[in-house]
Amino acid sequence: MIVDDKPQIRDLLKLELEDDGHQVIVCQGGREALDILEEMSFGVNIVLLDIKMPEMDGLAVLSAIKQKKKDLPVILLTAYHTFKQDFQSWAAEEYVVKKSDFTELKQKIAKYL
Amino acid sequence: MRRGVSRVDSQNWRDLPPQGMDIIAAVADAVKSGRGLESILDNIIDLVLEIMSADACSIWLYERGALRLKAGRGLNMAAADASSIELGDGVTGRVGLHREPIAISDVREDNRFKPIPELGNEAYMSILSVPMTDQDRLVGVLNVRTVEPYSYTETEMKFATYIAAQLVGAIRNTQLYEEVIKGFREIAIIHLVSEIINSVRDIDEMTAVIARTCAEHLSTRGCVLRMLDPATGLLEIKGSHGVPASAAAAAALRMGEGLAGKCAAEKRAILRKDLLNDPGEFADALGLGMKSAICAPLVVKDRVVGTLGVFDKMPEDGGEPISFEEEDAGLVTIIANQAAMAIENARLYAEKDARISELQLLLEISNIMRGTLDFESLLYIILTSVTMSQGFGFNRALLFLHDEKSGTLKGEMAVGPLRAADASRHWHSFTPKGKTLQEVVLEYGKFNREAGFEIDMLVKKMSVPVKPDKGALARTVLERTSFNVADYNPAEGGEEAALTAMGFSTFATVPLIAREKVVGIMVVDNLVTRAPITDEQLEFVQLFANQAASVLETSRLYKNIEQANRRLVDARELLVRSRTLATLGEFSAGIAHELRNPLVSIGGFARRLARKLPADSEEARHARIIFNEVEGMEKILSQILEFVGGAKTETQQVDIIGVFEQVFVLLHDAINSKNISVNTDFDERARTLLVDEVQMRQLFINLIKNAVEAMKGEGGSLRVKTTLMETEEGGVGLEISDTGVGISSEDLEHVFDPFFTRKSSGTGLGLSVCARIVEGNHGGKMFIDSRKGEGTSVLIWLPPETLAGGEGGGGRGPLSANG
Repeated sequence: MIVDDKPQIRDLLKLELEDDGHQVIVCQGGREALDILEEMSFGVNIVLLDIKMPEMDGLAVLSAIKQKKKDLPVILLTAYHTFKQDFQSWAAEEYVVKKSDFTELKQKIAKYL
Repeated sequence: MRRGVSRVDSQNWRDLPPQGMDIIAAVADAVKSGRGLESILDNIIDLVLEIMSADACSIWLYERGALRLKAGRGLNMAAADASSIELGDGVTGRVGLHREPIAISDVREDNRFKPIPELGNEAYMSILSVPMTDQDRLVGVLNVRTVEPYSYTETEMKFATYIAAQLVGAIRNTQLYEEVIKGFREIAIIHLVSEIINSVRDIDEMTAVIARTCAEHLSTRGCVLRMLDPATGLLEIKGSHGVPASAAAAAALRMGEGLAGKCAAEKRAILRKDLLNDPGEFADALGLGMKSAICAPLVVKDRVVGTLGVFDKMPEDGGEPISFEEEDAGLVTIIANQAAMAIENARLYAEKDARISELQLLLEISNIMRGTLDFESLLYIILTSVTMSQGFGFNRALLFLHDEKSGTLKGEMAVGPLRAADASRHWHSFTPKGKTLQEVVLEYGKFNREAGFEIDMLVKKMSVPVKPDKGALARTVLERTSFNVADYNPAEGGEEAALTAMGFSTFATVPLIAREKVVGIMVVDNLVTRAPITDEQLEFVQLFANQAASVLETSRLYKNIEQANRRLVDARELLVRSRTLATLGEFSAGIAHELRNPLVSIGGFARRLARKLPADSEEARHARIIFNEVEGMEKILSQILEFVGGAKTETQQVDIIGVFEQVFVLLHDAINSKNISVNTDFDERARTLLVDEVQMRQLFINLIKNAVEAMKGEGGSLRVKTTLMETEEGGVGLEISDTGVGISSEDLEHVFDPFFTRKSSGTGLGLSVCARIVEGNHGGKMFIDSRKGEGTSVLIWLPPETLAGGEGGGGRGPLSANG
């Protein structure tokens, strides 16, 4: 599952991951993602979560996910380089700084699938 | 008219023969011509014999209950001393008894006459005997004799009576004169003695001067001045004259022993006229063969402080010593009083002098102390002043500081040798000749500091609880008074046992009191010299201690202020830095966010295009140019953002104790508002660690916040401890304990789970984040030990690699969050 408010990023990631053979659900916000997870949690193996989103902050989404599904891996995607000091983010399994080269992200996803 | 003739009855003037006036003048001349009574009497007798044409004449004076022959002509005067006439006995005795003249022309016809053969008075036939009276008191009898029988005329009887009256006057005058002369002599001696005595200030010199002056002016063979030593109870000779030095040195007397001892014990002057035949209680302690002696007590404020004794009065014309009389005893008593006063004055003066120099010393040391505010330097100055000979001269000194919070006396510093045998090693290595007190204090203090005394190390290990039953040191604090302790025997294995180990058994304790607070105490002793510590000394040291305490307290306050100030500066710097960083970070992050997303899209799609297009096509080459350029831009962006703070765990040498202290500053309000006592126990050996400072700070903030929040209501205690682990595993232990509500055992299993919380506010991420910092990022371990209602301890272990300057490199190094 990819959660990101920016359509270009969402689409790019979807295309890249589908190229690798993954089934991808895209959500444009936290609320939508949580609803989907609530309804069809079975199919989701990993969540790629953008932190900065207008409707609901990624970290709040992370909290909500972890409270319900402690074992569902979450990879935080961020444009920031400073979230090390934001300890809420540490509930996520991984965090990846967004780059046009998706090699690192793909390696991390592979760890959990 | 001269006084000598004034007693003549005026109505008899006309009866006098024409030469009467000449006779009166002659009598007057005779009376005043003499030097001393004996020559006056002789002159009178000569005059009487001449005027009355008599053959013999004698003057008997009434002394000691009998008439004794004092002067005469025509009698065997060699027997005069042995002859005496009882009142009523013979003619002279009757005249003396009835105070009426008797005239007999021929004694052979009158049974009232009694011959005294040894005087040869039976050679004379006639006798005219007239009494000498002064008012009603019998002074003596004047006898006139002739060889042939003779009837005395009325005129002759009147003349004899007149002469008798003149004699009375002359005798009385002479006695008065002698008394006056003697009085003058006494006054002169007393004056002289007191003048000499008071010209001396030094007490030892004074006692010598008293003895010499007294002997010389009382014309005695010798004089001995003894002073009572209150410590030993002995009367020791402090000044003597006419006594060999060897005898004077060895002849101390106890109270009641010998003449001086008896005199001192009975507090009165004692006169012994004939020691050779009647020694009484007197033992000749000096072995000088004294014949007679006087001893008078030296009394000051009704207290005997010594004795003044003289022996053997020497006559003015030389020759054998003569016996002292009562008047001599009186004179010695007066001189003794003068001497006592002078000695007391000298003592007071000496005391005052000593007091002045004591005060001078205090002032100087106080000035030296005020020259520094450095706490440790002050401690050295204080202990040095107490132990150096120019100061208080104690052999050793310990200093304890009073920690009011924990209620203990902590050994802080010590100066002096551990054993008496070490003294010379310590003391000879420093010679303070020709230096000012300040130089001595500072140099000796430096010497003491560098000497590294064994007792200094021992005393630093001491910690004595201030409780009523905890012995002399605790009592000094509690009772705020100094103690002179003898043969002290602290409880074995107790907190004071180290005193015994250091050889402190007879010592004094002095509290250091400033602003009503006992700042600490000093313990002083004289291990080496064994000199007793006097109350005066202790009083003086107390004066000094108060001053030292106030300076120490000032320094301590200053130190605290300085420390607080430094913390404030640190905190402010931290704040400024973090705020700057935050601003910069926010700004950069804003740009990064805005730029990164489009760059990801551009780069990502370009990469896709390059992949999808035939690799050698012109389009694929253009796409590669695009995503290479984008990658370059992303790198520049990362470099900028890494400056703000990278995502990695960055280990560096961190002052972990300093981090704790910063956290306490940050959480100061929270801790103080709940009146929580903070007890820190940091291991200096584990001060610098190779860790991520930001993470450590966050770790401590989380843990301490948790602890503070767990302590509901007022009070409670927070304990933070760091230890260098002595186990095989090594590493560093950190412990943060509280006396809060605790955690139940079932909850304890979940505390490390993300989002677990029992707090009404908060995310529940605190402990999971902590565990991640410790275990994930630093390769350590974290444990929680807690009991519901009793409190919680968080134990953190960091591996040996975190110890800066340790072997480092090998083994399990601190992990990277991105690893």
